Amino acid sequence: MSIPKLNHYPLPRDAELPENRVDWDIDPNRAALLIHDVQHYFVGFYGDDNPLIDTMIQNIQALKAHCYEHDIPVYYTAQPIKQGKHERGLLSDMWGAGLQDPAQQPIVDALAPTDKDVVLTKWRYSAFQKCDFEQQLRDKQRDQLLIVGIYGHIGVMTTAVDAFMRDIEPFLVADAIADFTKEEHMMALNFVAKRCGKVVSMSEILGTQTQDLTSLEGLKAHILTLIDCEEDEFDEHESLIDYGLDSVQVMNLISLWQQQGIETNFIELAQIPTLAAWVELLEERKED
Amino acid sequence: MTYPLPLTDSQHAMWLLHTISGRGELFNVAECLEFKGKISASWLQHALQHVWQASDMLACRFVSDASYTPQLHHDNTIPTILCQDIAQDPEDVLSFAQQFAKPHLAEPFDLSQEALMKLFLLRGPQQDYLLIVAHHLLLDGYGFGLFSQSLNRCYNALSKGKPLPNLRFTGQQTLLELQQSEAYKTQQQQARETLNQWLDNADNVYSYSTEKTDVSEPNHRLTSTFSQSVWHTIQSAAQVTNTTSSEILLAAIAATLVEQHQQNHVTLGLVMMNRQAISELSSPCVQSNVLPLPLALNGEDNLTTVAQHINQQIKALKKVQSYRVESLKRDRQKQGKSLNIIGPTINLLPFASAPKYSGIETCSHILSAGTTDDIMLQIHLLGDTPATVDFDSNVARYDSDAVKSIQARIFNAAHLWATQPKLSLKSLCEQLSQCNLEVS
Repeated sequence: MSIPKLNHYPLPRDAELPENRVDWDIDPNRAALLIHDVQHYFVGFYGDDNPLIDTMIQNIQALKAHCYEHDIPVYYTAQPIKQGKHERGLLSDMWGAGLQDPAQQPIVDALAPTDKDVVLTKWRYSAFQKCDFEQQLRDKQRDQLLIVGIYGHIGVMTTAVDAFMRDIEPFLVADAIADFTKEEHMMALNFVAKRCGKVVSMSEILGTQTQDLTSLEGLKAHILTLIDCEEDEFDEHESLIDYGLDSVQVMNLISLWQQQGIETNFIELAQIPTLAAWVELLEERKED
Repeated sequence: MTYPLPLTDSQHAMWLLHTISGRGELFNVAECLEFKGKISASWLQHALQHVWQASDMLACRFVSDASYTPQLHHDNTIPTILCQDIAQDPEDVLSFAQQFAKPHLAEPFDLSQEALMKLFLLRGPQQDYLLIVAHHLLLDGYGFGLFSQSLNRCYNALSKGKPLPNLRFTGQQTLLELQQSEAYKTQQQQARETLNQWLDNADNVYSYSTEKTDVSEPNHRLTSTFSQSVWHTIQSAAQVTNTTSSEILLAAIAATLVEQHQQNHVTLGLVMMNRQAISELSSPCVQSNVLPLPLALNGEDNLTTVAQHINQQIKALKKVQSYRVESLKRDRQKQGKSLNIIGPTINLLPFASAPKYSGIETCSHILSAGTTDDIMLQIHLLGDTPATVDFDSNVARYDSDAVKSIQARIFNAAHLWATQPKLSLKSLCEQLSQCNLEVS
């Protein structure tokens, strides 16, 4: 009845994110960050050295630093240990006894709260339940909430729904969340984007550029990581097959372009196997 | 252009296999294109005519003289697409198409007399299905893609009332000139030396069976697809180990052989596209080659090191892919060495596409990619979609339980290693042995 053993999966890329219905912008004067349930207990289900958790933690660290820099308050949620049946309510029926070991209760070391942060006691899926979180946000004139942590389709999503119903704009940071599976992760993002909030990515918040894999420079930079060739020796009119680009790498590129709505296939690319010709083809397809 | 013309090395090798074996049907391949709606049979026939006439490697016959020297004769007779109504659209298109193709796959082509392709347009109430049976001499996996794409372009041009496209297939003469050039011959000679050296250094070559019985009936096929969540873990592991999901699958296959034979040095067979130059990439005819991929692994290797080793070996293999496997076997025979030069054969198939025919969506089903005398894993790679693996096997060497067990072991190895990329090969094999014991 407990949480299952969890595996890693790739965090969604920008091009995979759902279309948002709302056009809200994050305002540092209105926003707060919520780091949701990243306690040893919940993180432990992913096992040691889990790449998904490692990336999520790195991203949350970067986001937290960004929040400190912009005076955005940081909140955590953490469930208490050994909750009685009355305190835990129906969660016991669904998930069993829950957190029992005091050693498993703290936030993971890499994200340990500082004196500046507020740690809220978590009682139910939503961080707002049985807690004065809404009042704390109002006191600080905050009506936007950036939500990160675990698990995406349970507490994170439910907190977003609850925030929306309290007229607090929720922002789910798609690549700073972990979930049971990628399907459930994407389900949570889709639901929030369509019904109660906005889905954003780390690069969007931090203002970092992601590679445009349809431009000459962006595609060249990407391909140079796949082949054994120095940048100054690379010729965009030479065959990429001669440079050692293989069919599986080409298929991966096709998938990435597909996510941007550009349809190509291996055979047509193989017949014009130069970077310059590919960029020209991609330009044509964008116009189609 | 003056005909007849000689054959390329690959065409010649395939012609010899067909002729000497006396079992020409073993070299038939088949694919079914499922249209998600109704299409125009006349446009399709017209499109086929244009494609056929654009390539002398399609519009040809292979005629040999008394000294068994085959030549390519030009013959512009276009195959007729045979239309047949079916009472209802099949629920399981793949099984239906396999059943329909079975007798046609069992019938050898007459290389000197007939076009090496038969096409059937099966017309259901809601959907149409184009079934193509061809000889491997005419098309390999890449060639099938090239042919299908050209057919699609022509059909769409006809449907829009536009002029038919200028299809730029490479001619037989141009391909011959490339492959008979000094540079190409030198490259082949170097490849020959390298491949023989690899085999000299390799230990015994193992597959999943030790049987040596030849093929006596069509291969058996077991098809399995990775679950979405396992595939996501494999993709994630590929990111972490800076490799590709296909290299992880190859690592898993190698691990199952290591576990079975308790040998860290294993040799897989890898189907190589064997097209480097633009002229080769615009030729539909058989060029693909199956070559040994020797892997010298170590019990302490983890997924990253094994996948990187595989990546390096594939890069090395690309440089020698023009030397034919049949020639390599002859070399080994002359030296009195084992003809057993490859283990299980792996065919990575990234060629899938789903073009629209005048707005009608399609889905392609590979029914047969040729016959194997041992076991061949056809791995269909479709980007983010979980990979599907066809396990084609010689029924004289593998019964269906044995193939099911091989499938389970490989999928389990891929899942275990992707979940724990730092696990050593030795520990992985111990876990696999434990799983095998539990199953048995």
